[in-house]
Amino acid sequence: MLNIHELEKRHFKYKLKSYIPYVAIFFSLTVIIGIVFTLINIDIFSQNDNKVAANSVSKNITEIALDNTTSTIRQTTEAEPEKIEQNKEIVKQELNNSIEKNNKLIAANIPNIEEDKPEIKNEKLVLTPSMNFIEKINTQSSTTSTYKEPEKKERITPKQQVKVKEVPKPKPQQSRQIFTQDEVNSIQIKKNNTYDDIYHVIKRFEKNNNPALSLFIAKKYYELGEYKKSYNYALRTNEINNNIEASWIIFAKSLVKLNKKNMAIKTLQKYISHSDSNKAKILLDEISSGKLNAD
Amino acid sequence: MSSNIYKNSKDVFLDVVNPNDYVQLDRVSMVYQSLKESIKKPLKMVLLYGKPGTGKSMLLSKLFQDLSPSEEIFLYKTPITDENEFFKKLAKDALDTKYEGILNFTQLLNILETTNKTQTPLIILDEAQLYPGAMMEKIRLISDTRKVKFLITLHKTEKEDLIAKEHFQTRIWESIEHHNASKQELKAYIQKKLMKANCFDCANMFPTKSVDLIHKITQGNYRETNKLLYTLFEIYEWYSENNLSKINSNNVSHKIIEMSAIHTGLIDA
Repeated sequence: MLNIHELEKRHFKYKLKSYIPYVAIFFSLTVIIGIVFTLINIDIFSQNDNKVAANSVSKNITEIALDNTTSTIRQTTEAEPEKIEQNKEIVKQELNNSIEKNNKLIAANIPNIEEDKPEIKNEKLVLTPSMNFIEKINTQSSTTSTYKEPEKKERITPKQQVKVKEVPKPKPQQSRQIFTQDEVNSIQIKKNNTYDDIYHVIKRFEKNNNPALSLFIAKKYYELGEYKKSYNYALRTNEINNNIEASWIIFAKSLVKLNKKNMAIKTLQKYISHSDSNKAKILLDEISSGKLNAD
Repeated sequence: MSSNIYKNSKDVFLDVVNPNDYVQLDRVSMVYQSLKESIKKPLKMVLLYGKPGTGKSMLLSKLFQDLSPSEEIFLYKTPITDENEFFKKLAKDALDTKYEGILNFTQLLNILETTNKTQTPLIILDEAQLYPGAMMEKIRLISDTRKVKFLITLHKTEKEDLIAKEHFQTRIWESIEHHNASKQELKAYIQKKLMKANCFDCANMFPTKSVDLIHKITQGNYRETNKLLYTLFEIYEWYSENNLSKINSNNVSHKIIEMSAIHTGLIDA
């Protein structure tokens, strides 16, 4: 007779057992997938960290001297991490090699020094006259008659000179460029010198109020086209001394350039009535006839 | 569905070798035909082998039933391990000679030489693997007289190479292997067996998926299938009597198939 209840229980256990492999596979797969994902994430983070570290290293490291005779390694700021690491290893290896070489050299030299020291101590220094110069004189006297190299040198040098003369022929375009550059440079130099001079003269004028200095400043500013400054310094000159003809003329010219033609004419007329200056008259004629105009 | 139906279905799968319960399947029919042809040939020995439960005994029973009216054929279902008894039975059946005393092998050979039968009798030895080796050698020598021929049926195990055995190496001229059923054959076997017993409702309870599960459990072995289905219908019978709501009469339950397998030891639970 069958015991169905017990059989049902055994079947229930059997079903549970039958699901165990599937559950185990499922859990193992989830664990494996989880591990793979975490490893991938770790790799990504480590790669990012390496990149950051490599960038910082590459920014900091510019040139590393390996040895006195070896060349320097320059690392660019955009270098890849692998290359940087390779370069680091190379640098380390080369540094180690150079250290080893130096150590070997030192080790090789140390016994020589030690061996030489007792000889130096034992030997007595005896100064003797060198007779080499006599041998040199003899050899020179014996070789001068047969040695022909100096003649060859003399033959070669003219060719070299000719070559040197041929090389620096400038092209016309280059000459123009050079000329314009020189011109610009010369103007700049003059300008700089003028301004320096004016600066020094102004300082001196501020100290002693010499009208000759202020007149010089007014003339220079007029030449440089700075008519407002030339007007001011001419006015100050006239205030110090109102009988300086050149100052009144610069004053009037500056007014004309500042579009104050009428004021310039009135000033010149007053000055002419006071001093009867020929230069002022000529300038008045030029202004009134329109020969001198504002820029 | 009443519990009687399940009971009838259960009885169909009783492990009894009855030639009337023989189910005609394609492959089984092929084996049966090839056996019949081999017997007609002037062969000394014919070997039918296969794994236990593949239906060899049923096939031999069917063959004996079919050929006994016309042929001089004798079926030894259980092995006779005693030599004297075996020789005496052989002399009685094949030579029509009844011996009261001891009949040894030399005496049997003498009798065989003096016999002049027009039709060579066929001795079918089932479970021949149970005969001792010396006995098998004597059976081989008896077959050499050509006065008697043997159809030997034995189990084939995974390790054993039967054809390599010395007493079969030269004498056996025909060897036929009987295999387990395929899924389709198993389905046909179950349904035909149930329908033969007029259990039509139960025969329709086995869809392909259920038969696949049964085949997975039994590996298509007829004896195991019989055991399983016997227990299955026994469980159905119990449920129909005690808890009818737990069973579905349309399709066989996989749970009950598995329970049957657990009970019969086919599944280790």
